[in-house]
Amino acid sequence: MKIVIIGGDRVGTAIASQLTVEGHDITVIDSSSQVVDRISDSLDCMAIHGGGAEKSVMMQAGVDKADLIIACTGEDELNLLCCVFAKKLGCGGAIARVRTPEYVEQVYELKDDFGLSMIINPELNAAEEMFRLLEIPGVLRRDTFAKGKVEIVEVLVDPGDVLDGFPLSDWGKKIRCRALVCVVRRGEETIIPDGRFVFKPGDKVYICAPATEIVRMLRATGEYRRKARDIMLIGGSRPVEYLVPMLLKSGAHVKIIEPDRANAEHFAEHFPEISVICADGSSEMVLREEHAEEMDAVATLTNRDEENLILSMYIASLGVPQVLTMVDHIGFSELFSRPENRIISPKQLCASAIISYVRARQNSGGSAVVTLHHIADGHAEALEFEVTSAFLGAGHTLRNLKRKQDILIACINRGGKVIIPGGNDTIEAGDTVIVVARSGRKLLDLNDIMEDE
Amino acid sequence: MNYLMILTIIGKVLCVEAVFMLPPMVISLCLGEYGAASALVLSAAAAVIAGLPLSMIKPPKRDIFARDGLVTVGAAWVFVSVFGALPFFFSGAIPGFVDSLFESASGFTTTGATVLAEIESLPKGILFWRCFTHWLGGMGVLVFLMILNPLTAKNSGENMHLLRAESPGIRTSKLVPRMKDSATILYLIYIGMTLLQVIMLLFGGESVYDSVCIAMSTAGTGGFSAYNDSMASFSSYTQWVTTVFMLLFSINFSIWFMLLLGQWRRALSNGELRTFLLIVAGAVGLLMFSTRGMFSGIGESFRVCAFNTASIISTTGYCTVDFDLWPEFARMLMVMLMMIGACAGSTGGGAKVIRIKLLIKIIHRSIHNAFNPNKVNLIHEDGEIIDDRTVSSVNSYFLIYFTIIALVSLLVSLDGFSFESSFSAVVSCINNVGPGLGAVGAVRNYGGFSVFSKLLLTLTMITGRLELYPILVFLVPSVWKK
Repeated sequence: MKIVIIGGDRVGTAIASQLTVEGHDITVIDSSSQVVDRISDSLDCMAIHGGGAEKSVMMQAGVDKADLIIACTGEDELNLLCCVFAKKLGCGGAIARVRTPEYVEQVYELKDDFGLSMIINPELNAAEEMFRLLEIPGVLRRDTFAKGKVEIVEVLVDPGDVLDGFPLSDWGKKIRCRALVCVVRRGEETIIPDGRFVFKPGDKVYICAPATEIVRMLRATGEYRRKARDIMLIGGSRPVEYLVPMLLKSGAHVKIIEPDRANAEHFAEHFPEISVICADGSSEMVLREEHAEEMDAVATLTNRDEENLILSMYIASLGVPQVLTMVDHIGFSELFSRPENRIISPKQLCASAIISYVRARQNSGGSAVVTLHHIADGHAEALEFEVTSAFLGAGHTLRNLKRKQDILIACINRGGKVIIPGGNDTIEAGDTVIVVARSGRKLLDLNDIMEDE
Repeated sequence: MNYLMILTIIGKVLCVEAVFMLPPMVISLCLGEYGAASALVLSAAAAVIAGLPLSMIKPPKRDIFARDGLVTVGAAWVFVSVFGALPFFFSGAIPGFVDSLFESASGFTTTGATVLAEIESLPKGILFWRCFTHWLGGMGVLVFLMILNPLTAKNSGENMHLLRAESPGIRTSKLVPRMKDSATILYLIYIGMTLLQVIMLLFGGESVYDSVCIAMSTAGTGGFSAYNDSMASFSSYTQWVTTVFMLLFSINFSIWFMLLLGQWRRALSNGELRTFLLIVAGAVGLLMFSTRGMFSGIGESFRVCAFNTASIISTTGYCTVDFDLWPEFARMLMVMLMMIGACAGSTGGGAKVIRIKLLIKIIHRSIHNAFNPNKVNLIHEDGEIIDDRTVSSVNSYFLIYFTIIALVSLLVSLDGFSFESSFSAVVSCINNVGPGLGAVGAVRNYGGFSVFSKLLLTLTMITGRLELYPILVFLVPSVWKK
């Protein structure tokens, strides 16, 4: 697909780099010539210097013939203007980054008036992700499918856990709930396990289960932990604005540490239920005074990655059971991604959301991708497809369905009923199915899972 | 520096070169030139033996940065020239290896300077290889490789460093977002235009062999001919076709791409193109004036002057007359045209019209700044402001360019040729033209130079073709440091 991205800062670069890997023709427009040089040196895409909303620049980038425009500069108004104008020039679809909390709701209402196909808000995505992790602390990640009915969760096997030394063949007998182990990440290896598989400490296990079964499944595997009640947020960056109302709604006690007086007062004014501490969260004194060690969960959300990482390491050392870290530069985050210290990257979440949208659009004829999540540190993908009558394997039982190697049907969702499939289940038109595969397969259509004749 | 990655790329380049030795070999076989054919097979085998193991290396890291890009391109061109010299050497067409190397480098860099006085007696397959090297070198060997497979990590933009180091111009940019597609489009335009010329030459009654050789030589703006008298004995129709195509190949290929897309206005309003056409028209007029009375009639005068202007400014170096016999003004003008050269992003050499244009604007600005120091004076080109980085890159380009000309002229003068001969030989080589004045004039050759001078001029040609830096980095010790 021909895609024009306006704005080449971190979010734009992350999106562009993911989309070039997927093989799309990308043109990035940015008003800084340094950014343009950097992008054209590091990515296989075209970079154009100029104002994103200028007609001449847009025409030079070929917006009129593009399939999609993604406006993701730091300015919401500019993004909206770009999208409206690009649609006018004949661009196929438009995605705008809108992130001002004050009017993001209004923009959602006006989505159709602006002609937007999608609105991206990395900070909101990050807040939602953090909220979902705080809801079920035992898991490292939660990716939802089928409008929230199905989830794939990541669980770490610790020494002495129920799962330590547990053979997968016993799963059905011992765990006794509807859940399927999709992928296991062991060191640098990505395994799609079969019955002979035995769990080892250090394995990251990705389990697909209906949302209603998650807690039962975690209890059975001994990975369940009490939901966080006392939560401390260090730093008052933008995701906090979205996260606090969610936490309050779920009944948690929230404490924010924010050094900037005006910002602190802003939170105190908008959320009278929470305690706002106006102090420097990076000071050890302050953290002790506020009893960080007694918290159920701490999230570091300052605007500086380094500070977040250091603080999270310190807080994890205090024995806080759950620590979330917001990191914007994805560069070195692998070094820090430990179970006790989960990295949330707004721009990465946002890039994944766009990739799944683009894949879905790419395939409007056959069975389209509805949702796409990268799992197992990006080494596997979980895709949700809408099954249409174009699917060649419809009606066959899974046992008889000739699939490519290492492709797993994780879940079938039929009319609101979630089926964790066995060999006798079938895929029918009208279902949605969740398929797990290694990355790099580039599944675009459900028929792509079938063995080539 | 990522040595393994550099070696792999060089290995792949050599394999590609070996494959390209096959067409001339087939021609030799068809014509019964078994000596030449076996020399070509042997050369191809040597290139494969050297290249295949290298290309099999699987470097753990596939990153290429600016420094690696320059070194890769510089080294690849030296290797390509060395292996390209083998057919000349093995077939005995050129007895000395240094002479063969000079001829091969002259071919790939599209210079067209030769050490041979007698050309027509050589095997046809070898002469075809000679013209073929022009065609390959014109657009670039690494650019060709990019069509076959991405060289560096999948879909990363690092190939850009290679493209930039190999393609001439101040700001090399892609035509379309993806590198592979860009390289493919460039080559398709190149092949299309070459075929068009072949067809037009066939239409004029030339043989298939001559047409293909002339077209390849013109396309790369090289200038090797299969005849001793270059283009003089061809019909005036053939000369006119060649004149037009020499000019067409000196125009930035992105302009041809714009025309293909139907963006006529944008293509024709290109500042560099307009200046180039203006220079060509002016030079033809001045030459006609300077050489008045030397030709029979205005028609012939126009044809000869147009041909020679196109030949020199496109840095092809074909000759129809010995312009060394022309008046001093005309000869001086020819040297000036050599230095200006073709447009950026074309197959031609020289300093490039865009650089000359910017140089004049920079001079204009510094004069203005001298008497009006506070005036804000930005340099515009094609409606865009040229940033200071580009300005200083143009400045340093000319600085290095003239330094090299001075130094190499000094060293070449050790051979005892006249100032005019030594100087014009160096100017001709660095700008990839071919003929110079005096001892290296239009009807003479480079055979008289010493081995040392030939090696030096070989390096000068490659330096000129790659626009200085890819070869100069080898002279900087810190390139080799971690």
